[in-house]
Amino acid sequence: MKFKIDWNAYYWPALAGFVILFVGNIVANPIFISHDNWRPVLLGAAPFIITTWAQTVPIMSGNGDLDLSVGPLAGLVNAVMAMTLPGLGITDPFSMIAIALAIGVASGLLNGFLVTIVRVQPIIATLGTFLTYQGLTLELLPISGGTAPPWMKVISGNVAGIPGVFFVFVLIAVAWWLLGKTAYRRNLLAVGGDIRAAYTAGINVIWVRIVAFIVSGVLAAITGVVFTATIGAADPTIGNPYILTSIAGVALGGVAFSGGQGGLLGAAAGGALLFLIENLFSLAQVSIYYIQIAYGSILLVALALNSMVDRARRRKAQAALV
Amino acid sequence: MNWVRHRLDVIAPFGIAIALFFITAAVIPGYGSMVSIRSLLLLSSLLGIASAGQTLTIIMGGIDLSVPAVIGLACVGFAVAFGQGVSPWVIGPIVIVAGIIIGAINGLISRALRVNSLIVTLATATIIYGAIWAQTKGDNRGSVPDFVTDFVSVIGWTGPIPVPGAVILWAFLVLVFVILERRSVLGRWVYASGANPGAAELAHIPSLLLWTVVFAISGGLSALAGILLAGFSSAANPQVGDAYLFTTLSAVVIGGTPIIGGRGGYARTVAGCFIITELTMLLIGLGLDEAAQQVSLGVLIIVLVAIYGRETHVRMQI
Amino acid sequence: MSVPALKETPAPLPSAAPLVEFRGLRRNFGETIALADCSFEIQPGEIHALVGENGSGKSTLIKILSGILPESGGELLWDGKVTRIADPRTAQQHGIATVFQETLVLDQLSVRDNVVLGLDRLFRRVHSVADETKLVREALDTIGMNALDPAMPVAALSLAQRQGVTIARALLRPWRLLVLDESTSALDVDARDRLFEALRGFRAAGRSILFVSHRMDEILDVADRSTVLRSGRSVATVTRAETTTDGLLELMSTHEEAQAAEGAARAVPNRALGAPVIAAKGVALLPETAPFDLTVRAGEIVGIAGLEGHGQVAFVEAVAGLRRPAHGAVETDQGAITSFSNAARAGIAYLPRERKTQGIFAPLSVLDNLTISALKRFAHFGILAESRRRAEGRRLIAQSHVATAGLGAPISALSGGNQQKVFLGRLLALNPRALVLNDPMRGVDLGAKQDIYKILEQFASDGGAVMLLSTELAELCLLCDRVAVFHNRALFAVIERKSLDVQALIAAMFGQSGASRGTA
Repeated sequence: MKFKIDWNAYYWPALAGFVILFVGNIVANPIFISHDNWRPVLLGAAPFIITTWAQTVPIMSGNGDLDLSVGPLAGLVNAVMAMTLPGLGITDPFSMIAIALAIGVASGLLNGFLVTIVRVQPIIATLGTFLTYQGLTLELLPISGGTAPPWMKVISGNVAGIPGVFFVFVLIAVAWWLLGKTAYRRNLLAVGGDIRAAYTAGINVIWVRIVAFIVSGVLAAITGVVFTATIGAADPTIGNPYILTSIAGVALGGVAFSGGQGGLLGAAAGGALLFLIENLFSLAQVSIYYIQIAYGSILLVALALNSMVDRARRRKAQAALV
Repeated sequence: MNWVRHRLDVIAPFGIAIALFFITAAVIPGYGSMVSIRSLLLLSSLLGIASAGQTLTIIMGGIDLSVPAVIGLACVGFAVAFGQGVSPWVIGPIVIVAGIIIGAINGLISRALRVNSLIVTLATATIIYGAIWAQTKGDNRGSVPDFVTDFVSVIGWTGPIPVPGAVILWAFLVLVFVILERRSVLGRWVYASGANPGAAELAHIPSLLLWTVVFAISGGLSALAGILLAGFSSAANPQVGDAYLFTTLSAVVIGGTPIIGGRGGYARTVAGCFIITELTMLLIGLGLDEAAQQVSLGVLIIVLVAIYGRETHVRMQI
Repeated sequence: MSVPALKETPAPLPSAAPLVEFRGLRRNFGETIALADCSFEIQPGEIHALVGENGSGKSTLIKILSGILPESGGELLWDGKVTRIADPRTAQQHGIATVFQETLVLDQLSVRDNVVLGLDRLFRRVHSVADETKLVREALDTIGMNALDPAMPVAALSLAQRQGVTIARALLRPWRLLVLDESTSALDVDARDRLFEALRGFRAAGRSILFVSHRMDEILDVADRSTVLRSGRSVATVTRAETTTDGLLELMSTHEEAQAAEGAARAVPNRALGAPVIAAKGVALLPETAPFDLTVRAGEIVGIAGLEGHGQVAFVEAVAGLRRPAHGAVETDQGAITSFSNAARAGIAYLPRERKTQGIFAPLSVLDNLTISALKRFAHFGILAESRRRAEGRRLIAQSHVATAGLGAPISALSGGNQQKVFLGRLLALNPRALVLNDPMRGVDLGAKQDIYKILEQFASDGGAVMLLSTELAELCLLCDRVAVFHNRALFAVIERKSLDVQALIAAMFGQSGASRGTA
C-alpha cells in the first residue's frame, strides 16, 4: 500500500490556518490544551465542525445546492430531544437517537425532493424549510426550557478520560470514510462537476443529490443532539448562528462553491478555524459583536487567498497547455 | 390557449396576485376596504423597493444576501443620528451613500475575485451586523422625522392621491427599472452577463464595472428601504430588515425571474411583491401566531415556486 | 481523411432482423418540430452514417435514441420490439452507448474516473480500481491514446484528448450500438484513422455504429449506408456503392442551397493587398519553442492549421490578446498586443471556438446578440436609441446572411449555423480591421458555411484582414491566400496559394520536410 501526499490538495490552506490558530490559542492561553480543557473545547467546536460538514456535502453536489436549513434543523432536533420526547416519556438513548436520525433523514428527503424532483432552486427550497423548521421549533418550544436526559452525559462528559463528543467526531469520520469507499463519492463529484456529463454517463443524478441532502440532514440532527447534551436543555434560537458559520466554514475549508470538489477534512479545518477565532476573541474579552466582524472579514480574506491560489494554478496550467 | 401555456411564467404571477386578493377578501371581513388596500400597496412598495436591486443582481447572475443587513444599518443609522439632532437631509444621503458603497464593494469583490456573490454578501452582511451592534451596544434609541413617518403611513396622502408617498415612489421606481432593463446599455449588459458569463467578457462587456454598479444600486435601494422602514416602525431596529432576506428572494423568484439569471425582469417582481404581501396579510388575518405564520409562508412560497418557477430538467440542458 | 475509400469489401447488407428501426419517429418542442418523420433501420454489423444539415433533426434523433428526450410520436424498435428509452442509463442497459457532440468530461476527476463514469450504481462499485485502470487502458488503446495516464486529471488534457476520453467512455459500456455524434471533430488525423480502424473491427464482430459527421470524406471512408435527414425527415438511405459527395449534398440541401454550393467552386478573386494589420515578430509560444514571424495584411485571408495541440490555438489566442507568448510580441500599428481589450482597440475582433459557452447569449434576442459589443454607439447617456440600433441590426443581418424570423426572436430559436452567423455579425458590428476566427465552421451546416465563406471574402475584399483557424483542410484550401501550418508548438511552414492543397497541408501538419519551409 503506497501512501502519497498530494501537495496540490484543496485542504492544505485550511489545515495551515488551523495549525496557526491552534498554536495562537495555546500561546494566548496555555491552559487551552490542558486535559481539563479538552471537553469544553471539543464541545464548543462540535457545532461549528458538524454543521460545516452538513453544509459541505450538498455544496459538493453542485448545481447551486446548499442547505440553509442546517441551523434551524439542529434547533428543531434540540427542541424535540429536550422538550417533546421527555414530555412523551421517551428518554432511552436508542429511541432518542433513532428519532433524531429519522428527523435528519426526513429533512434530507424533503429538501432533496424539493430540489431534484419538484426542481425548486435550492436556496429558495431550503430557505422555505428553514422558515418551516424555525416555526415548528417555536410551536414546540416558545421559550428556552426542557431538560436533557441523563444518558447524554456520555456526550457532554468524559469517557475513559476522553471527551465523549470526540467519539461523535470519530463515528462521523468513519461513516464518511466508508461512504468514500463506495461508488458514492465519485458519483457525487461527478454530479457536482458537471451534471450533464454525469447524467449522460448513466449516473442516477437525482438520488445522488437527494443522498447529499440526507447526509446533510443527518449531520444537522446530530448537531441538535450535541446541542442538547451541551446545554442540558433546549433553546429555540440555538441553531440560527450556524447557518452563516457553516457556509463560512465551507469557504474557509477550501471547498469550491461550484461543486464537484472538496471533502470533510478541509471542511473540518474550516469549521474548527471559526471556533478557534471565537475562542481567541473570548480570551481577549472582546465584545461578541466584534466576533461577527472578524468572521466576515476572515471569510473575505479566505476567499481572496483561495481565488489568488486558484488563479495562479490555473494560469500555470494554461501556460503549459499550448 | 397555446399562447397562455407559452407565457404561463408571465401570466401566472399576475393571475395569482389578483386571485389571492379576491380569495383573501372573501375569507377575511373588511379586507376589501380602502384601508387594507392602502396597506397592501404600502407594504408591497416597501418590499418592492427592497427587491429592486435584488432583481437586477439575480438577472446578472449574482445574488445579494446583504439586503437585510443594509436595511438594518440604514434604519439604525438614520434614526439614531436624527435622534441625536442631525438633520435628516444630511443623514439621509449619508446613509444611502453608505449603502451604495457597501453594494459597490460587494460587486467589486465578487467579480474581481470571481467568487460566488452569495458568500461575499453573506460575509459583508455579517460584518455590517457586527458593526451595528458593536457601535450601538444594543442601545438603539432613536427617532424619525414626521415627514418620513407620513411618507410610509397607511393613511398618508400624496397631494390629491389617497396613497402614501412610498407607493408613488415605488411606481416611479418600477417605471425607471423597466426602462433601465429594456432600453439602457446597462440593462442589456445585465441580461447578457447573466445569460452567459463566459461569453460576456469576450463580447467586451466591462464586467467589473457592471457588477460594481449593479450591486451599488442594490445597496443604495436597500438603504432607502431601511430609511422608509425606520419611518414605518418609528424606531431604530437593526433587525427590521431580517424578514427581507427570504421575502425579497421569494418576490423575485415567484415573480418569475430564475435564480440562474439572464431572464425575467422587475415588472414580474412587482407581481411577486404583491403575492408575498397578500399571503402575509392573509395569514395574519386568519389569526395565525408568528410561528404558524413562518411555517405557512415557507410552505406556500415553495408551493408557488413549484407551480411555475421550476428549474429545467437536466435533459433539457444537453 | 488520408485513407482511400472502398479498400475493403462492404459488409453484407441487409441480412437479419435490424438492430434498431425507427418508424415515423417525431419530436416537437412546443410548436417547433425538431423531428417530423424519421424512418430507417440499422442492421447488426453495420456502420450507418446519419447526414444532414444542422437543424435537420440529427441531434434530436440521437437524444431520443440515447434516452435523453422522449419521442412525441412514432415508434422506436430495438431488437424488433417497440421500446421507449426512458433515460441514459436505460439506453446503456439496452446496449446503446453514445458519444455526444459536446465533450462532456469532468475536469476535477482523473482520466480513469471519467472513462468508467456511470458504470457504478449509486453506492456499489462494479470494478476494483486495478480492474478499472486495466479497462481504461484497453479502451484508450483502441483509439491510439494509450499514452494517456489513467491517473492524470482531465483538466490537463487537450480538447482532442478529452474527446478521446468520451469515446473511451462509450467503448467501455457493453454496447451493441455505438452512436458517434460528430464526436471526431476535435480528433487529429492520426487518432481519427485509428478510431475508424477500430470501428471496422467492431463491425466485423457484428456490432453496429451510427455515425454522424459533417465531413463527407469521413462518411465516404467508413459508412456502409447513409441516411439523409432534411428538415426533420429521413429523405433517403443510400448504400456505400451509391454514395457520392455530390449525391449526398443534393439530398441534404434544399434547392437554393444546392445552387449556393455550386457557386462555392469559384476561384478566389484577386484582392488588393494592403499594409500589414497583424504582425507576429519573434513569437515563441513556450520558452523552449522556436520563435517565428507571421504577418497578415489588409485584404488577405491567412489560414492557420495544425494537428490538435501543436500550438496553433495558443497562437490565435495570443493574437486576440487572451494569452502572452513566452517571447516576442504580436504587433499592430497601435503597438504590441498585451490584453484582450487592447487587441480590440487595435481593431482585432475575435471569434472563440465554443459558440455555446463563449459566444451566444441564449435567452437574448437576435438584435441583442448582434449589438451587445457595440451598444455604446447607440446610446445617449446610457439610454439606447432603439430605431438606430434596429437599423444596424437589419444591416448586420443582411451582411451576415442570417435567416431569422425577426430581430426580436430569441437566438436560441435559430439553427446552429444561423447562430454562428449572428456571432460573426456581432464582430462585424465593431467595424474591425481584422477578424481572428478560432474554428468558425465547427458544427456548422453546409448552407451556413457557404454564407460564412461569403462574409469572409467580402470582408477581405473591403480591405479587412482575416486570420482563420480551421480543422477542415478543404475549407482552408478554398478560402485562404496562404496557410500557416503549426507543428511542435511553432510555425512549421507557410503554404502559398499556388501550392495549396490538402496533401500539402497534411504533410506539413505531420512535419514532413517536403513542405516549403519559410516565414512571411
